[in-house]
Amino acid sequence: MNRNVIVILIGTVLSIVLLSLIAFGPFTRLRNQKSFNTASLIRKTIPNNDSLADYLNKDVKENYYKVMLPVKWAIKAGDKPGSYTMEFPHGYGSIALMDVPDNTTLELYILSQEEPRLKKAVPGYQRLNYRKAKVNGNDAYILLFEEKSGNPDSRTMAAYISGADNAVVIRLTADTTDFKSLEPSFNRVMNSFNWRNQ
Amino acid sequence: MRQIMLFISMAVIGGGLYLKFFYDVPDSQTQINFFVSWFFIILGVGGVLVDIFWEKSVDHENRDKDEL
Repeated sequence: MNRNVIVILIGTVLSIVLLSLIAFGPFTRLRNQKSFNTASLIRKTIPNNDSLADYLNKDVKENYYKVMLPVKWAIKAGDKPGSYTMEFPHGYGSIALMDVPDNTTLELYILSQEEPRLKKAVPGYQRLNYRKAKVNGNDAYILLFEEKSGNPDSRTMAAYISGADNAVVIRLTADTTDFKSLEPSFNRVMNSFNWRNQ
Repeated sequence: MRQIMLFISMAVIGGGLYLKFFYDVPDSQTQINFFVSWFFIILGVGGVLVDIFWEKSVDHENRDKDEL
């Protein structure tokens, strides 16, 4: 073992120590962190004069909820209890209860089951953003993704909101070109959701 | 032996680069991914450099022996 080899070994060990400090220690700030400015992102008050109507759902015991939806949207009860489907110009959406297994967390379930399922089911699936938030005191995970099927491309904002029993998923989809104009309404709908069991 | 070490080092670098650029990291695991990927890259590069310089030193020794 010559001097160069010893110098390289010492350099490698020092680099690993420095890496540990950057990853876990006092120099963590040096690392580029993805900062999710959570609640503030979806709680932006964007001027929108569309009036909303209350929908109080009492289909499933222990999973009562209230959500506010624009009066201009066409709302129907969904196939499953506790669900709605909706249609509006240049888009559509749904609200549904989601049973999360007890041996996992909602976030883990989204990342390990829901997103892989979406990747398979949605043509040209591309995640645009994922962030954690609070919706009326409930943990929520907002997934924004794009579907590139070409006829035309669309964007979906999916909010997974945790609950005492089931979780709820609010999916709102719009054509990519119209998404920006509809996003304020989507945010208002998602922020209006609240469980009514308490 | 040195060729095996070089191969393993390259594989470790490849693993690190894969974790760094291609692995779909859950947001809750970015910190550990950052550490593990760079750890592999540094270890792999260290291994390659050690392998190269080790060969040179052995070559020098062999040459010295031949000259004697």
